[in-house]
Amino acid sequence: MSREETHSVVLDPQTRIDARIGVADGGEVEWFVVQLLHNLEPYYSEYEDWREIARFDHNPDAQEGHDVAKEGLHMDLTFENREDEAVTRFPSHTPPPSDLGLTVRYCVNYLRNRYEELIKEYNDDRRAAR
Amino acid sequence: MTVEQPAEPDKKSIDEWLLEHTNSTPEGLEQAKKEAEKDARRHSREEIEEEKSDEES
Repeated sequence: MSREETHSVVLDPQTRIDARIGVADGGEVEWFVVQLLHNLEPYYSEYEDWREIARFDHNPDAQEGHDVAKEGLHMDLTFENREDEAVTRFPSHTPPPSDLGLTVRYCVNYLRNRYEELIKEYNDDRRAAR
Repeated sequence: MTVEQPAEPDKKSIDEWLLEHTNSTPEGLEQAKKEAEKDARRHSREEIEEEKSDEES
């Protein structure tokens, strides 16, 4: 049985990346979820409304879970106004089954590099749906 | 999707956290970081080109 560990990376006051992993005794990552989260409330508000914008995940043992070793890596754009849309081409990185910590690192850095564009796309999408 | 309880931010870097909890090596993490930057740049470039092409047509 794996133990669960969580880590958050704050990108700006309204945006963060949450990484959750299930780790076996030997340090092998058995499953992971890496999410880009954005707070729709203004930073000065006493309320918070965190939404998931994009997600990478790997959980072959779960019902309908993905297996990045077999399927390759993909990112789901989890916008409310669209069916889940996936970005599938990540040619520089092949997930190594014995060291998926590297894939988690890849996902965090990918989101860190693209979060402003993804949030703009998410906000444009919400405006268009109104 | 609404997220009910975001985790509290950690003071450790993502590299320190992964080195502490997984079997990853510093060299591997550095390589994965570079691979992500390369793909992120490529996707950004492709989207800009797509937008330009949409505007032109």
